[in-house]
Amino acid sequence: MALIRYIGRRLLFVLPQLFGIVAVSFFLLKMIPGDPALLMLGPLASQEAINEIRSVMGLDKSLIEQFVIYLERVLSGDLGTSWQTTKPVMEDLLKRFPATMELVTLSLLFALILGIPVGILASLLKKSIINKFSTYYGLLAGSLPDFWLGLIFIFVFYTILGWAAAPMGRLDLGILPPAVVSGSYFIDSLIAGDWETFNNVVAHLTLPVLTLGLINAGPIIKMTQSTMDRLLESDHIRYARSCGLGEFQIVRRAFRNSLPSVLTIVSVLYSFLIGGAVLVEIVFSWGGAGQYALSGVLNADINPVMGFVVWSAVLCLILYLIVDLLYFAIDPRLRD
Amino acid sequence: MTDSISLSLNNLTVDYPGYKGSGTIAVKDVSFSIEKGKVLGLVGESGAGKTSIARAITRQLVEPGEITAGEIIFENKNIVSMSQKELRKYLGSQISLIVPNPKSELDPLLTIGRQLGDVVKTHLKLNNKEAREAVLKVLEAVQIPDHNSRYSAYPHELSGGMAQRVIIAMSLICNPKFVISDDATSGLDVTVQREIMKLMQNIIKEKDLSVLFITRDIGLAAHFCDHLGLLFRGQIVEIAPINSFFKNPIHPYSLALLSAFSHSVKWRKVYSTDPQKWSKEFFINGNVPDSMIEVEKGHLVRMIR
Amino acid sequence: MKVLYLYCKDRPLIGFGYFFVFFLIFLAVFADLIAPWPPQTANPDDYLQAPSWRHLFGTDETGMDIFSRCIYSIRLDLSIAFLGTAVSAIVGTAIGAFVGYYEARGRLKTVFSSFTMRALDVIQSFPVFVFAIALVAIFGQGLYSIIAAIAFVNMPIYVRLMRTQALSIRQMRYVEAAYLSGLSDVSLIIKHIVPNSMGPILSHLSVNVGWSVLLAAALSFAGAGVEAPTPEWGSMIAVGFKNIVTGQWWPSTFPGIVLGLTVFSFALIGASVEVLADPVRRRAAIAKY
Ligand SMILES: Nc1ncnc2c1ncn2[C@@H]1O[C@H](COP(=O)(O)OP(=O)(O)O)[C@@H](O)[C@H]1O
Ligand SMILES: [Mg+2]
Repeated sequence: MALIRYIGRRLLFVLPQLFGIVAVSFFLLKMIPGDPALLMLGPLASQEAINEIRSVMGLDKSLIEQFVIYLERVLSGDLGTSWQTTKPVMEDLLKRFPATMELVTLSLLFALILGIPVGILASLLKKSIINKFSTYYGLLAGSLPDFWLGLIFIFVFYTILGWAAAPMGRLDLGILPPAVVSGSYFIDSLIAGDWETFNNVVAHLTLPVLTLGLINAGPIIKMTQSTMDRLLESDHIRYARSCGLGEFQIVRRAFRNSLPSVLTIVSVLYSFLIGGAVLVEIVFSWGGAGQYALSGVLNADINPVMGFVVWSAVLCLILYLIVDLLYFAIDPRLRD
Repeated sequence: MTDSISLSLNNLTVDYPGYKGSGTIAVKDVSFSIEKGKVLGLVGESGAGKTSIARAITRQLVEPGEITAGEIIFENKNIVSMSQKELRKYLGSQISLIVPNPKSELDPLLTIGRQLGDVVKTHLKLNNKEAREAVLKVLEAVQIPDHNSRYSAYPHELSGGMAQRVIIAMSLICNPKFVISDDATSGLDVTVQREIMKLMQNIIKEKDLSVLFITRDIGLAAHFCDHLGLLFRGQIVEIAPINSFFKNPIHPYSLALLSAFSHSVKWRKVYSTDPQKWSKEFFINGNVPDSMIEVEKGHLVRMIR
Repeated sequence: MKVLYLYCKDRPLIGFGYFFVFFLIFLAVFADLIAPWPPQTANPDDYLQAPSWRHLFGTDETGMDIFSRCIYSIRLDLSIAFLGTAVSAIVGTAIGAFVGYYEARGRLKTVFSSFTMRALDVIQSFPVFVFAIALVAIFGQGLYSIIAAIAFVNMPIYVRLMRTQALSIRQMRYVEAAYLSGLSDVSLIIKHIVPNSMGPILSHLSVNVGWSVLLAAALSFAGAGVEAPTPEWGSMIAVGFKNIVTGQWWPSTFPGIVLGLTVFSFALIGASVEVLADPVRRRAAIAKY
């Protein structure tokens, strides 16, 4: 019951935000100089098509009416057509978002597996090398351009050593993608039990995941370390110590208490990476959603961009809801 | 002789080093001993160093505090020189600490049953079922109403008084020999304070505990203790058996405190709080001297003759 | 100054950060004297030369000298970053001061404040990078669009930082006193609120310059920023991208290293400012002296 109220309150905040995002992107679209109908359909459009979209979008009507029409279309799942792919944007994005989400999710998992232990150790061993290392690692990781790091990895692990798969998409050319269940090749090939495909998928994932994971481990280490520092000095941990609890118990309690902060930084990184992984996608020809949106921006193909913005906003919304549920599970104080 | 002593401090000094070497000496050269089954009250105003002493005994001083000199002898072992591992065996099981502001001292994410259970499981090696029984028993002993459902309550669901009872339960659950109570009732309403004090008094009597009872309220200490020590700026200025202290308080600071708590207009006029003006047997340029003098048996006063 | 010297003495890496930034500025100012080759002249005879004494960092596929281009890039990248950061800091701080000051000061002003904060939420929940690219696409490719995009995506942070500060400073006695003595809102904000809340803003500025360099380079790499023959780190990395698979690593690697070091140096400076702007941590940091 408390849970439902909690989520409800959250939605109350988030739904207007979602509306705001759609509104802002709509009016941004309106700011683009030139004929919007032409932008929608691309330079190759016929005059009839242009006239048609004009009346469909109600370009002769007032701005507000146009916005309402646009909202109705978005709500019914119609994001328009991309003139580059000549397909509905919805269909394109349904294919490409799983690729992006797969990349981002695995990268963050890797970043967590690396970042949390390092952060905890850095906090526990104040005078150790690992403490110094983690301080500067955070700064350095935030400073390296991820697209450049990806290139360096390609050069070292593909060009020179020949260990990694070619940086050309998610699978070798000769291998067919697994039957679509989730859209993530990683999961789908596991479900299909197709080991050859799975190995190939993993080989292609390795370098981009390494790139994004190493860079994003920085903020995770920093957050883990600073919250653990704060908690290990906190009243209740000191009290637990003076009750004679063992070091393992102490660390476990401190870590449990620092989980909300770690969760927060992960959700921030996640929502950033949905759009921010685009350059790494380009480097590895990943064919994800960010890349699709980017090519939309660069080729005046506006529907994919709008579609991408709406989609990522919705995904962020779902993400924040999941995070809220996790907060709720961790912290009993939220339960009433 | 030593067998009858539960805990003694010998010349304990606690320093919080500052950034330029000259830090705050929060506790200076403090010595006392507490006999088994007896209660020593330690009274002093805020900032006198009471908490520093309590934390020094459990070796949990807040950064950058450290014990720079002295010994803490518990059952013929020096706590100051113990390894962390050995120390951990004593803390919570033989020596336990009752802290003020109980709500911030409990882990907000765990039920109190779990937190109490963790302590017994660590020290007494009980299994889950036995631990649960032990926890329920101790919750009952500290008179927590409806203890079966409180077992699975979280700290934020408790009132201040309840949380204080939980802390007391935590300190008793392993049947310790020595309990430190640091200003245990300072954050509570007066009525709740009374109940908690009564509870502690009963438990101390019943279990024959040795106690270091730290408080700012000399009146409270009067009802409670066998001996009384007065802490002034990190140093003990007067320490005596309770009867001797109240019959014959000598140090001006003792008198000032007594007058403040007894609302006596006469005394308050006599003793100004400015140490510069106080008698020079007790103060040298506003500082207390290094020597202590035994005026009666067991009644020591910091003064020069 | 002395404090800074003492602080860096124990932390050579931080010292390096300051040194590197000054070094970059020096290179940028004297680029014409230092760069051995013109930055934009293609030399087809020398294309894709590996690093050598003749071409310190090698040449790219059109035969332009990468070392010279890296040096000339400093001008462009740092100008973009400084300007973008300055604009976002000035505008963001101003908005933040008003928003913080006006919260709970009369109904209409409160509405203004909370509306601004909600609007910020919306801006911040856009996918940052695509948003920046879209801004550039909308305003047309060009230097000012890039600066505007950088300023725009960074601004919310300054609004938030300043708002938090303004909220707490507003409660202080002396501000109350000034308010009661009839000082107008605007002069109160300019005279009291802004000067007293510069600490966190200053420490964020340096880090932010680094980010802005990174964002400018990323925009160019994506093809939405500075275009190819103009020397700029991001677009140089993009140009060298094709060559790396075939083994010519230098066209991408060197600009990336310079870019990374630049951002890292600003991050190091930011980290030191954060400590030094806080009196307590400053004392702790130079405790020994
Ligand atoms: N963390 C700390 N850092 C520096 N000095 C401290 C710290 N904690 C306590 N002190 C100093 O030690 C003195 C005694 O403090 P404390 O033991 O808490 O006194 P009490 O419990 O009697 O109020 C204080 O006057 C203070 O100056
Ligand atoms: Mg205290």
